[in-house]
Parts: sequence; structure tokens; C-alpha cells
Amino acid sequence: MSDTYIYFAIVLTAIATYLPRFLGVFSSDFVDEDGKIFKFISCVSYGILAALISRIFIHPVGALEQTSTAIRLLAASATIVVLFISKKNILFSSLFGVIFFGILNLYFN
Amino acid sequence: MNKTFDNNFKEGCLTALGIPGISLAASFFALGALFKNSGLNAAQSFLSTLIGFALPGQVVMAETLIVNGTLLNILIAVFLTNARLYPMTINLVPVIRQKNRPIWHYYFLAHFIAVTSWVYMLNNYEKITKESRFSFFLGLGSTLWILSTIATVVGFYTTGIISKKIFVAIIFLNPIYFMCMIISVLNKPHIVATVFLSFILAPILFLFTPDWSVLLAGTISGIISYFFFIR
Repeated sequence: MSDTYIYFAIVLTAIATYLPRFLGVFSSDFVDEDGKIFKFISCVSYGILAALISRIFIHPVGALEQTSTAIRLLAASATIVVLFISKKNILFSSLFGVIFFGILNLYFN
Repeated sequence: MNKTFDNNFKEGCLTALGIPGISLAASFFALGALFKNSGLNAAQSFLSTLIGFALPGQVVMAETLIVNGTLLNILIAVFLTNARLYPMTINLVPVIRQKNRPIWHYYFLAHFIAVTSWVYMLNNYEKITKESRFSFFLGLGSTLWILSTIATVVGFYTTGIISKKIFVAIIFLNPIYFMCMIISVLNKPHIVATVFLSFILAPILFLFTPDWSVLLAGTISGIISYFFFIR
């Protein structure tokens, strides 16, 4: 694979990434912060984000693929418990989740 | 630039340097390692995050390059992966919109819209005055972008130095952070319903259509919640 080919791939990736953002700004002209379309788009956006998280936990790609699904789900569940116990302290809960996952992965994977 | 703009911008930058920046940098750190293993050089890794700042699309590009995919394959695969940015942008711009601000400012700002900056802004915009939101988001998004670009290069050069088990734990920070952010704002029935439905639907749809599962699960859940709770 030549360097030029990789540079072309990077530029095409940038175009394919900016396009939905560009179209989003264009379409947002017709959306009002208090309107029903805004609420509908909120639902879809949060839905996509939840689906993305779910996919990373259950069907990840890359390095996480080599870890156990049970460990990932156990770490995520424990983090949710800690999040509520800590009165929704995101920093503390996120760090707990990562350390707990790291320990489980170290000893049981 | 006036003083109020500067202060809001600075506040956005400082926010990005906290947990949002740490979690995102961790993911881009891993991306740098992936790029090295995929045959990219340091300049290419740097350029990729600089101009194509959206991690899942960059991962898809690297994976397609590994299997000698064509440029058309890359274009389509990345577009489908990043299509989620379309509803996210439509959702965010009305929140940060200011009267009398030229439209090209929003097209410029759009480059910084990614999951981390979007989640933070959507979760916290009610605490920020309408006039301050644009400059705050500019500070937040641009700082996250710079941190990610640096983290990609650091990840590229430190591949192999860090133990694999620690490396995997670092990658786990980003999804865990997203999960905490999303759970912390589950206070509206339509959002709660969407999130739960989508969380269950995505892995099921993955079995039938891996490429479309995220978009389909999010869209179906969003439509169902909208018709049940809002319409």
C-alpha cells in the first residue's frame, strides 16, 4: 500500500465524516429548540448513542474483542451501581469502572 | 472578540481538560497504536485525527486499509459509520444557536461535533446561558480535538511500551464514560425509554445486520419513544 493511497484514504475519510456534520447544520435551520422535531431528533440521537455503547460492550471491535463479554458487562453493571451510590459522580464512577475492569481482566481473562 | 466570549471559551477549554478530555484521549491513544499496526506513519496518523476527527470512522478506515479495501469501500463504510453525526448535529445546533451569528460559524464548529462533546453539551446546556453556549462549545470541542490529535501521535509512538492488559483497560474508559454520562441524564421518560430499548435492540440487530445495527436500533427506538411519549 503506497503512502499516496493512504493519504487519499485519509482525505476521503475526512470528507465522509464532515458530510453528515455539514448536512446536520444545514437541516438544523428548520429545527427549533422547543419544538417537537427537536424532541424527536433527541430521541433518535440518544438511541444511537445507547446502541453504540451497547455494541461496544457486547460486540466490540479491536482490542476489546479479546476480552470476555461477561467481564465487560460485570464491570459496566458495577459502575452503574457505583454511579448511583456516589450520587452520579461521573469522574469517580468512570475511574472505578476502568480499574475494576482492569482487575477483572487481569485475573480472570 | 469580547471578554464574555473569552471567558466562556476558556470555561469550555477547562471543562474539556477534565474527564471528557481524559476519556477521549484514552481512546485516541489506542487509535494511534492501531494506526501503527495498520501501516500508517506518524504524519498520516496525525493528519487523520486533525481532519477526520471521529474515532469510529477512523477505525473503519484503518480496518479497511488492512484488508486492502478500495477507496470507494472506505468512503461508503466511513459515511455509514459516521451517519450518526447527522442527527447529533441537528440536535446540537439549535441549542447553541445565537441570533446574528453568521451561518458559516456553525459549519466551522461542526468539525468539533463528536460523541464526547455532544454528550457533555446536551447534558449541561441548561446550566449555560443561551448567549454563552456557542463560545463554550467552541472551547470544549476544539480542546477535545487538539487533545485527541496529540493522543493519537503519543499512542503511535508508545505502541508496545504499555502492557496489553493496561492498554485494554484504557480503551474501556471511553464507553464507560459515555454510559455514565447517559445514565446521569435519564430523567425524561422519552429518553429513558429510548435508551433502554436501543440498548437491548442493538445487539439483537447486530446478529442480522452488523453494519446497520447501531443506526437502526437508535432510529427504531427513537421513533417508538417519540410516538409513545411525545406525540
